[in-house]
Amino acid sequence: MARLGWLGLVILVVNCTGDAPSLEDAGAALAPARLTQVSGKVLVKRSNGDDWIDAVEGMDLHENDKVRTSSGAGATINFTLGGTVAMGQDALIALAETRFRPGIERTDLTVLQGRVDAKFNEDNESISVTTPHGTVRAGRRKIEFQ
Amino acid sequence: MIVSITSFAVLALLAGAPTGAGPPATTAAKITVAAGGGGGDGSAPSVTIVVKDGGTHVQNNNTPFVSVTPNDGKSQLVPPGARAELTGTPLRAPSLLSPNDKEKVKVRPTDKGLGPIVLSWAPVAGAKEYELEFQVDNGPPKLLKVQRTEYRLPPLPPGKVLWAVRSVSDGITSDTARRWFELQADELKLNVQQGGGWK
Repeated sequence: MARLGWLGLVILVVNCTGDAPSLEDAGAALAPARLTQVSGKVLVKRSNGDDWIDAVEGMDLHENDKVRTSSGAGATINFTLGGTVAMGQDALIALAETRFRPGIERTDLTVLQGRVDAKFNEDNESISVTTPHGTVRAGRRKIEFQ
Repeated sequence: MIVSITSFAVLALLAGAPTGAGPPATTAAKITVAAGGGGGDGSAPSVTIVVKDGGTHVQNNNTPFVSVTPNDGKSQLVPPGARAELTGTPLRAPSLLSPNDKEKVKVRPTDKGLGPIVLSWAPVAGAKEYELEFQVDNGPPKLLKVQRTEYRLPPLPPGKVLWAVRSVSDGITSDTARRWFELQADELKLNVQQGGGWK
């Protein structure tokens, strides 16, 4: 216990000596997804913005952000909790809200238009996708939703 | 809406018959087994989801667990190598109830404006909330999220009030239903006593 206390103190000192993390860093740590591959014209609309901006590889994606691919374009999104989604051309997706709302099942992604391929590399990876017509849940293991 | 496996279509596909051999796709989720489904090449399991032509098409490429749930239906498993089609009705726009379109609404003025006026609309299956937008004349539009199917407007200045409502569910937004009404001050009729009687 005492050791853990000393360890905490050391970590605190190290943190104090370095640069304080910016709000952007804090946001990056919480980002549920990241754009890892972009080809062609891909646009992102932030949840708190009105404009579509050019997507760049490595861009963090937050809840309610939207991603749109143009004709001939494509993008790959890696989810922090596992799973990779590849967007085809002329697709429009939105990242789901991460906040919990009683009585409402949350999903990871909303596909409004076009094609996405969700790939699962690890055993514990799963994804839940909403579309205008329903919800798709997929993973290597059965997911229990409450 | 009913979810069912169209077993006739499954058998027909396995036998190499055309996909249209089964009963008409009147159900919300139609599950069919595709001959030679993906995933057999050692690649990571995946699922392909395509939203187009008024439906959602799902292909299970050897993922152990995939389920589909129509907006107002029951979940249905999609086995590895199988396809599913969700053809449920997309989220509808709400039917606006009150006030009527182009109605002249007369309200007693208060010191804060005219009101209150209650906007109401019919509930929509599958909607988890509604987005309401209203605007008086050329003033700034106001956008609100409402969980109920009515909203009491704050006191407003007289003028033409545009209002629009759309259904929302998990980021999916319906078309928008719009109306307007004319908000007017209800003129008070004062009875003044003149001579021996009231006028």
